[in-house]
Amino acid sequence: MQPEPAAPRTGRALILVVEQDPQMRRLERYFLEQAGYAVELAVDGNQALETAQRLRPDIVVAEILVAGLDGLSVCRALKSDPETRSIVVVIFSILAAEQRARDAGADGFLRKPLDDARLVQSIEALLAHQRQGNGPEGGATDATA
Amino acid sequence: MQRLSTGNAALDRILGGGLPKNSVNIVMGLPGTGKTILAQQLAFANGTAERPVVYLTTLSEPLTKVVTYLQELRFADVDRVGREVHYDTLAEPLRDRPESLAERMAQLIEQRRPSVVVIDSFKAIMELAPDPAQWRATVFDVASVLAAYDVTALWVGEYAHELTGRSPEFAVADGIIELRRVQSGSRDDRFLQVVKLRGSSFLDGEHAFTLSSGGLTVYPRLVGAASGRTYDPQPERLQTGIGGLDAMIETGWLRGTSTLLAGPSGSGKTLMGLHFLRQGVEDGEPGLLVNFQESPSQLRRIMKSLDWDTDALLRPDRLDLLHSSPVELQIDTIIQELLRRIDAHGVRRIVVDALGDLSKAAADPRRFSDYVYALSQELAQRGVTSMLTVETAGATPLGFVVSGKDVSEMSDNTLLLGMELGPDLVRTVRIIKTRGSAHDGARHVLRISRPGIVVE
Repeated sequence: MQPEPAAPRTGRALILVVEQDPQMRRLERYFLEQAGYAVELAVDGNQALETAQRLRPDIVVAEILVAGLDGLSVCRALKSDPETRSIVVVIFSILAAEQRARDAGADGFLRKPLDDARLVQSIEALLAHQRQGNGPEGGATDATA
Repeated sequence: MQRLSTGNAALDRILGGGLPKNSVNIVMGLPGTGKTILAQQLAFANGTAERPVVYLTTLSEPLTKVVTYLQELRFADVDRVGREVHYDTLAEPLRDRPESLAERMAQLIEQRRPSVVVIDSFKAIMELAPDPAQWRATVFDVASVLAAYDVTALWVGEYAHELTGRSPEFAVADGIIELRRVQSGSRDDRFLQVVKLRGSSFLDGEHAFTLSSGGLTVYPRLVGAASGRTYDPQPERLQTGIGGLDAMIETGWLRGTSTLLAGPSGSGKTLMGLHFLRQGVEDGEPGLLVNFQESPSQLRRIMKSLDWDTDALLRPDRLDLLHSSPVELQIDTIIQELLRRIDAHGVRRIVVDALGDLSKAAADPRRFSDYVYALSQELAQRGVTSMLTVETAGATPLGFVVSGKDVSEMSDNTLLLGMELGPDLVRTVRIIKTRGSAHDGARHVLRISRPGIVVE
């Protein structure tokens, strides 16, 4: 799949969704856009990393189980690069991998299935925490890894 | 694993706490077995304004019919329809494009954010699919959409059992519940069985249920032996109040034990059971008589003929009567009602009169001995002391056959009542077996007069 054209930055927070399941991608995009966010999609880890470096989204919401680089590797790569370290990363996975997400430096962890209210609340909380100048680490939400 | 209530506590127990959340479940059974009522009960148990239940009809029953009959069900609060429980039809969109079902599901999730989606009938959509390959792809796509979101699905269908190995929806489903209706003599017995429940233990086997405007009433199969609880007869000894009889077994009957009273018709079994219950009331122990032959008025007459104070005695919290027709009721129904009353009234003594009648209520006679065994376990675990009567037609020298099975091995004690026909009728009693008690095994004469039985 070719990278989709970047959504114009409109002042809305930009979320990069990294997900290989088409149904999940569709629903995540729908609910996040409904909540007022701009959404970019990536279907595998390499595309996710390239898109994140190019667009500098506010948040990356990544499944672990994606082709190429897995979601945790994407997270580690972003957090080890000073240019992308400030991007908030939420691991949103079918796997019960909260500790692995924490070890990879993720700012939050949510377990699937998708509960749109919980996802949006977690993202709002992490963004609010970041706006207060606290950096992405230590956001006080139940999704904090 | 999070669970979703079916709206039916007994069914939730069978399922190990309810259906797993975010699962796809099939409710299958032939027309008229109660599938739609089960699904609607679940719908009204779970719908909220924030996370409603969406009930979708297809090409099996018109939506108007489903909603019309819905209003006859007591649990269906019509004011919640359209707010917490949404009814809609997929008939038109799917008629030409059954493969669009996944797209419809995704749209529905986006619009309604449902906690539960019911599709009734799912099988009707299968019949619209042009070929099995496309149906398989459609089922996969629908399951993928449903798996993505925090929603639990119920696919209702008039599937026959043979289809479970062939249709792809059965491979995709996390749970399968089958409803069956079986003709048993002049009555219809209904059974529910969990065929599959991924990642969860459940109570297997067939569970009886009845249907009414209140929904399904489910009677989980009695599996006393499987509960893992053990019991020991308690050392406390109880009296029957029959002079001479209690002296035959040390100083009485151990609490929590079961005693079989075996003898021909007219030998005094019912009366002996009544004595045991009456003595219990006098000792502050509520009792329950489960009786299939004599009506409550007939029993009242018998007791009055012995000068017993029936008004003081026959009260639910003293001596409760459960009179039931074995022809009309299914055995699980009777046993669950029996256990309910034991728990509700704190019953400590029970008489089941007679096992032969109870066996007529069993749809499968081969399972009857399992029921008796499980029942005696349940009673013992509750510390309830029991007497079970049995007609001696079909008696072996020391055992009593009911439905082809010797039931004497399931009781702790066995009393044999006899009738000797000579110039006079002589009734006799002897103890032929006890567990945990020394006993007098000699033949004793039993007399019936006012105020009851005397053993000499």
